[in-house]
Amino acid sequence: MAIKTSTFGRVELSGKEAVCFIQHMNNDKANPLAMAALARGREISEKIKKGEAFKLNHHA
Amino acid sequence: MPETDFYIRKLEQTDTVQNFKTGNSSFLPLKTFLQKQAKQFQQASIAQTYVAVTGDKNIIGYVTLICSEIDLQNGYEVADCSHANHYEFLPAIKIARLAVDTRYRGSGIGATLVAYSIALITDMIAENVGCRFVVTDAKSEAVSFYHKQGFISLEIENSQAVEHHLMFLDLMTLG
Repeated sequence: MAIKTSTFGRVELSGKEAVCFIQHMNNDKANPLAMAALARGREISEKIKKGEAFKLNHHA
Repeated sequence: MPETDFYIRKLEQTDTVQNFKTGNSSFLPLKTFLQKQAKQFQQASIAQTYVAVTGDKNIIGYVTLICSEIDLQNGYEVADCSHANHYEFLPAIKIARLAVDTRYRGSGIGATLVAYSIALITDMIAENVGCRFVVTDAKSEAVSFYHKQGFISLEIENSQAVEHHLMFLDLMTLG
């Protein structure tokens, strides 16, 4: 295993996993799912600043 | 599932944490952390916990963020910043804990907390300090959940046998 990680600590990558990670880092393009999450997160931040409540989403 | 609204804010020292339920014993560390350690971590500025709370201050979910780093032991090259290649580590924030009370699972609280974390890290930390990645050690049953939030998992050998899966989000892919 070339991944060493702990819950509250750093991540150590070596071997194939490090190579894979570097390929992701240098080649990955825009990430639509993450961009959508960021957009939702910004809306959430605005609601928090206004002290607004959130509704439970029973269909999540 | 109880009908209720909830709020998101930082964990407060006066919050009651004893009613939080995690169900399955494999989630017990998440309950123990909230009940016995989260406030100390916060007070010592080691980690910050954000909670989803009902109007009566009942915690129904939480996420804990901590500074982390990625050590690529074979060295690395950052294509868009060659100067960074001299540094041993890449800066990251880790989602160290994420849990939702068993009575409220499947109601979007976890996704809300992760989305908020991504925005917080992108707009407050990366924007003002510098941070390239969000990382987490996801339980096997949570891998699909994190994929839906845009996290990438490293393709590794024998991944089925691993209890936790390293997943990450490169903030440079957020446009």
